[in-house]
Amino acid sequence: MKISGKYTGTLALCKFALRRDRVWLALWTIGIVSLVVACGPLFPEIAKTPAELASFSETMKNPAMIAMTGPVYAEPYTYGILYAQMMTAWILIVLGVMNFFLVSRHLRKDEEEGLIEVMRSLPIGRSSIVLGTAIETLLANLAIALLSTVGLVLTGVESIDLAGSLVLGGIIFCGGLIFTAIAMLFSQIFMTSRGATGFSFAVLGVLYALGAMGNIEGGAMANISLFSFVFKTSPFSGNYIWPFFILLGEAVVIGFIAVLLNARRDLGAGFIPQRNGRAHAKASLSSPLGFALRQTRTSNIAWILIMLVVGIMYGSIFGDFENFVESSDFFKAMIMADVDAGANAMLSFMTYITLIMSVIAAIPVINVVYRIRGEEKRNRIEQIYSKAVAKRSFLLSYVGIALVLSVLLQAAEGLGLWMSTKVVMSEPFALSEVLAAGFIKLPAIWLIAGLGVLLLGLLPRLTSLVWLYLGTSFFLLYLGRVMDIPKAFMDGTAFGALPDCPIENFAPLPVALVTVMAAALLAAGTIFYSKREISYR
Amino acid sequence: MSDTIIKATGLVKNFGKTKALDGVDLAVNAGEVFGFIGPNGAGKSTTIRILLGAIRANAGNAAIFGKDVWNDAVEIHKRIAYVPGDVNLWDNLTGGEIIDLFIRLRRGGDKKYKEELIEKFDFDPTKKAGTYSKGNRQKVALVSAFASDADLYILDEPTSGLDPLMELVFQECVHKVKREGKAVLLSSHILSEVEKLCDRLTIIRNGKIIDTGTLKELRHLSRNNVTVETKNAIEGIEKLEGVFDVANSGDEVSFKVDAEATGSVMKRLADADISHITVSPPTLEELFISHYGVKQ
Repeated sequence: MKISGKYTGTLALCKFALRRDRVWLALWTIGIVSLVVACGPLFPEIAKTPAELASFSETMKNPAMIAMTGPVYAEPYTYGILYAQMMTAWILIVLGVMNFFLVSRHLRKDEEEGLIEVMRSLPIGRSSIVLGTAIETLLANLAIALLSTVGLVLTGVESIDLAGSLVLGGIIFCGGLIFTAIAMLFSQIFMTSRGATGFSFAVLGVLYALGAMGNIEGGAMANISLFSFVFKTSPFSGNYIWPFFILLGEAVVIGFIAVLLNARRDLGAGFIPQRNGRAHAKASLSSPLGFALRQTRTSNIAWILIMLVVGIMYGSIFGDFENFVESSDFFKAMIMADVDAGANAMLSFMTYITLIMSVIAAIPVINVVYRIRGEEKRNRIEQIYSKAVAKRSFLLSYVGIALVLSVLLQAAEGLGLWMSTKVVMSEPFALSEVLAAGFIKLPAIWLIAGLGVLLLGLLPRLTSLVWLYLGTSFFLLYLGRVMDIPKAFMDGTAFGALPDCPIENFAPLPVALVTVMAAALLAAGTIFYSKREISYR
Repeated sequence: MSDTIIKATGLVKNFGKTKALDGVDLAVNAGEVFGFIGPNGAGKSTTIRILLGAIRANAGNAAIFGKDVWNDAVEIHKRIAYVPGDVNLWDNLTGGEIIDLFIRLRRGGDKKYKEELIEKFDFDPTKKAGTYSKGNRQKVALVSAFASDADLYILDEPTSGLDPLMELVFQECVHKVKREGKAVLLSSHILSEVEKLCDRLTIIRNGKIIDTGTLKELRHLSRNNVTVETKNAIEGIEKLEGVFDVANSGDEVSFKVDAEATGSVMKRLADADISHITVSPPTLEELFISHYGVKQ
């Protein structure tokens, strides 16, 4: 046996993988590069003058911001540094998601579907598929890094120079490779793609948390997670390259272990075998509702926790409120109208933040409703409807869960915000004020859920239109005030139409109107859905 | 004596411009196993989906237990068990959980018999469905179908992933429900299976039913295979009416003969002093090929 035989066909496989993934990769590349490049010019908008920029750096030293994004690693503060500090963590997270999906698809999903068996029967080496996938992801990450670098330089933002952009590109490249290596490793250890991606995401979460601690504590702690370690490169300031060698070394070592494990394991096996589950269903799994609850349980709990944490993080800003808001035209503009109208600035800001969190909370609510569409697309729904299950009762199970979830999410974000403001503020908000701000927006979330149900019933192929509506609402509400968009547009969204309690008085008319519309959409959607055929692809 | 369980007349289904079904009639009685055969894309699954109320026919009527398949779907489904050809399951549930769920959603089944079936099908219910092979996914659907207390079993190519041993278990299950007086609609393109199990069958092609009847009746329309060895030479047999494909090999002559011409041909053979003869009915494959033959 020739040693080289282990890698026979690697390049051909890599080409094949690139061809298979070309659309997928192109979309992710465009997505990530646009995220990187489009956010560049935003920062001069947020802090217009050098003085504003300097005071902004004080805001960014708030522990919550440092934990969430990164430390103020160099001064004097520039747009470049502000950019790197604010954006690096988010870019890394998105990169992680892309690499996890890409790798587990090739190394685990293909195996589950029997594709690897077919490929292995061809004259290709034992390790060629792993290596071919590694090269594919390497090329993808390289392309994203290079395009991001070029794009950032082309934004022409002051202080975002070539050297710093190259370092940021380096962070993207090395970060991507480390995520690839992690996913490669877990693809060997776990038997299913679910297990591999699930555990990869868990590690991403742990790395992010360790990074948050590292960012705050500094010192040796900051060396553990790449989320804090990457700031040692000091982009747009020192532009050091030595940390890249360490990151690359880590990626190579983890990747190498993965290749070794892959060569040692059997096809279809993992080092941690799939745990056996129960042979019988629990009593709770005996109705459409029980089934829907079981299928949405994990993501429901995860989203409630996420909203709780988001609430806590936003709440922690209030400890440094003066600096945070006073220093920036951006944030001032958001609440100015309310303050001019005589409202308390802190209360206005809390109301505003809760409004934004409410828009985010609509995402999991729609996702619950759209599970039904997923079941249909994966051709599993006929398994349900061939039993004595009415379409209406199946749909309403999911709708019911979505509506309850909306209340729980609003409660979670409110509680989180209230708890942390209670710690950081000398005169904290009343719990009732915080909860009112969230609960008053519930009818808007219901209306969006209703829109989702209507699309599900009437235009199942166009269900993604609801995301367009939600995205437009988010854009108008988040940036509308800063960009001087007429208030009528914001009030035109369901969220904006509802009164901004507690800084505005409760107004029964808009609340009743939005609620009735939501109910009408839900009812109409349910009727259309129960009358329509199952669509088989 | 027989109750009509499925009664469909003139079913038409269009998908855009393609006509998937073009006037399909179907009648299945209690206590019979009804075969539904045809090549891929002939309209078998489309017909079944209409019967299940998953899609709606553009024209025609379909009733099960005398109830409309679209309007009374839920009511009908309480008494139906369905096994699709392509069983897609939920990765996060185990096979055992899904079997229980299916039985419960159908409102009732036999717990003890379920355990027996799991045993017979040699199925491990504790694995997550994501790790099952096609055959094992089919077992999930089969176990839950046969363990439930149904009056009609709709089976859409249910054995395409099973090995021969498991196919035997499947055939036993079908025989059992037949003995209990239940109706079975078995769509298949595994003809030996249909031949073994079905009392009556219907052949569908390009969305149209081209033949219905018992296997015997269908065979009647076709030709018997005759291989004969005679002491005296038979001459001019190929000139007889109803005789086709004559082939000589040594002392043996083999040919095909139309059912109605069999008698007169036999007389002629008897005159030539038969020393050895086999007459076999056409296999379902031959029937099938005569319907779908390359000549069309």
